[in-house]
Amino acid sequence: MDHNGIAYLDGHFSVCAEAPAWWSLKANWPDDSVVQHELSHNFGALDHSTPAECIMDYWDAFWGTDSWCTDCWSVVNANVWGPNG
Amino acid sequence: MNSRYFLIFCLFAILSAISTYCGVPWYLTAPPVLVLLGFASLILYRKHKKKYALFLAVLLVSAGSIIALIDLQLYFSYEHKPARPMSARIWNMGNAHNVRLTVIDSAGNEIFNKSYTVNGGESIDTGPVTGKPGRYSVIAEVDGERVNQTVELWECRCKTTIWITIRDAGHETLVDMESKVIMFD
Repeated sequence: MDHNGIAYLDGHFSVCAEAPAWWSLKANWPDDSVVQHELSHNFGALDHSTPAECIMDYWDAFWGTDSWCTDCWSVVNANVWGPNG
Repeated sequence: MNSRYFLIFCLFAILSAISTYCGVPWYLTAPPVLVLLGFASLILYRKHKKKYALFLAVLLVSAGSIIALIDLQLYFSYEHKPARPMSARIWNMGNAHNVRLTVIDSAGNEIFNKSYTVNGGESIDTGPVTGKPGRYSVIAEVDGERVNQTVELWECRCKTTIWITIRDAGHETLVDMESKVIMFD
């Protein structure tokens, strides 16, 4: 696979790679970060388009951040427990 | 160890500590610090011809360069457009039907309008509709019956597919429309 992982947004499936294919020239994220990132997509969180201290940011996911920013946490939490959870 | 080299090392260590304290992540501080330490080590080698200094210089410059390359690769991996354009797939599980697919952007412009005849059990891929992020109104008209949905095309590494499923239940034709987004990474 030429990515660290792929996931359906707000869906039921995601696939995580141990490492992206070498020819994709993509940085290999830690496996637990990939799982956390892809599952967050399954619960509706989007990627960040600029650096932010969040697992949904490519940069921080690579360097091992295991927390969400407030926005992403709200989205994931609402999809796990419902809007009042 | 040469005292001057030790002083430079201490200076960089203090600078790294200050920058980390100020909130600069270590992976941004590390490349310049490692490369500069590598050059300091190289100067030491040129003066004293100590082999360990050359080894250290190569090691430090390599480590700094690798971290800098990873930083650059990650920085340029942010994408502000979908990885692949939006497309639609019409899946007919019933009898043959005439399908018209229309996509209208947020400004009200019709950007896609095509008609298809889809046989029973056939699946048709419309191909790329648009790759421009935004909010779109998708209208599927199956034998005169209209189904519509608003679809958001996100500004990130993703692919949006609109699934239009057609079923026949007696004399009734059931049309379902669903958009699915696959996130890459």
